[in-house]
Amino acid sequence: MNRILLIVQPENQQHRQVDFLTSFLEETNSLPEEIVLLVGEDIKSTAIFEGELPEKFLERLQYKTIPSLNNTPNGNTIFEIQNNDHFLISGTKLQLACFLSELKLESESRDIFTACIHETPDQSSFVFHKYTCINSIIRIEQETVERKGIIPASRLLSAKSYRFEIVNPGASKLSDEQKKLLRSEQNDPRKSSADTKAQEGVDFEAVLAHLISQHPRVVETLINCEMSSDKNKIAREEDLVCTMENGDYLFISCKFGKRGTLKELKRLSNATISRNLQPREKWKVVFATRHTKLELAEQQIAEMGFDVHAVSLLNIEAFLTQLNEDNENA
Amino acid sequence: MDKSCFVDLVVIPAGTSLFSQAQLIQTFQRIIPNAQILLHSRLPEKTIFPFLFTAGANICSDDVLSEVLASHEGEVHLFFTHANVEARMKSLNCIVELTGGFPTIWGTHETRGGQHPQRRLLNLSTNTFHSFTQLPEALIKRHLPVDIHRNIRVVWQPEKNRLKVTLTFPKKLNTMNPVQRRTLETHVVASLTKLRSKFGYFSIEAYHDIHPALGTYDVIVARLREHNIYPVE
Repeated sequence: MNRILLIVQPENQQHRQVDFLTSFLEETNSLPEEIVLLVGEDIKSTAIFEGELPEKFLERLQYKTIPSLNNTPNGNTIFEIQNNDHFLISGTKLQLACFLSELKLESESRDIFTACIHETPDQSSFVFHKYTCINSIIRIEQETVERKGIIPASRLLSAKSYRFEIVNPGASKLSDEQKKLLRSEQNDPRKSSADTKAQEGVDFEAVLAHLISQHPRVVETLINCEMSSDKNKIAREEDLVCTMENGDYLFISCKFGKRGTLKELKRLSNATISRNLQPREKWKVVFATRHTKLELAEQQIAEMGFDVHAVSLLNIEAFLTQLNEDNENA
Repeated sequence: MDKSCFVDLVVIPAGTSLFSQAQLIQTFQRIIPNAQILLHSRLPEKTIFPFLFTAGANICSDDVLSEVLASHEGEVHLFFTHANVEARMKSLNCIVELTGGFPTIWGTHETRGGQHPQRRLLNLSTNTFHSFTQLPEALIKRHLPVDIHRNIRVVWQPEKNRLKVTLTFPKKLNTMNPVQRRTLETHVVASLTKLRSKFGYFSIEAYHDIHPALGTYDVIVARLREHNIYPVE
């Protein structure tokens, strides 16, 4: 591999681009001679790349200024494509069109090999489109390389300006009150019509977060996820978000109270759209409730056809295990 | 259809929004009058903009596109700046595989900001610009859904080839209780989502007209921004 080319996008997308670049280089065992960041005239900073790329890649970083979108194209070649260049598809659609048009021009005058690479929509694989041009005849070969590393939800939510706490599985401990709530759910589950105190709702959330964080297939558990407005007021608040070993994300809403199951299920059925959770294929929405309401929730999910899972403190472990098995068998 | 009589073939990949498809067909028909235009798509017929059935373009699957390309000898053009990357690369690779060469690549070029924002069709091989044919408002209005929420205002912008959709919130929003406010917000956003899924996400610019004096203004605005709905210009 001669060069990796990547068009730098605006700053709010650069964390994501660093993840894309790093995981591509690591998972394909690629160490190109140069990693060329193509920086538009209108891009203000590339500091996120310098701050987050591993040292071994930083040494190979090169910068090339390209025209801003308003001036693209300007009749000049933008990329100056070299043999064995690998373009990680980035930038705008027009910039990819410019790259391919430039490649067309190159292929008419000399033999050249180039690859364009992008992720699948669920981010589970890299797709290589390899173009070999010999005597002006082009041969295309496609290859899909499965991606092994996963991006934790904390990275995705940070990019969307969420704040949260990460549960440390080694240090997570339950308070006496929380242990009591867990024991009572295990031995004598709260009746579906019984009242609850506000603090019990908070404890329920903490117990669930603790149990999830201890599961061997869970790689990260986030609690108290909040998105703030420009004036620092809370605009959204989510209970729990966790990242699974297979790269799936769980969006979990906790409701220990006795009312509002159907209303909450309706709200959750739109969660991936209303929260614009991406990649959509990877997000699973979960409703956590007291054990005696689990059956009712499952029934309502089935009747209404909601794409939501229901869990309680008693079945959460089995649910997480089953989820991974289902994915492995899929 | 006798394909050999066509000198040029224009391929538009699947996933290009319905308004774009309609506009591209009309524009290419004007620029390359003899061209055969193919929408490379596997969409079921009911999801196709009815306009396309009478527009003079053919909707074709992978197999049909391969068949056409195999017997085609003229220039192949590919519109490359709408639709997702998979769909675009699929159309491109199909062309490369069957012709052994790259097509002439076209795209939409937009200049933003400044006093004269422009949106033009660009032939990247020759670096020549062409104006887009504008779709008539009557055509768009005919295909708008009838059940758009009453708090949604829709205006056709022919120069942008997009609908401008404004979520209008009443002045009394400040005096409504939180549940009423949230319900209204949910319903108008749902109605907008429906429009986006019918016409394609990029066919619609979405705005809201919430007054900044509203007590919970910045909280609602932050939520709406998540859906790419911005304060009205």
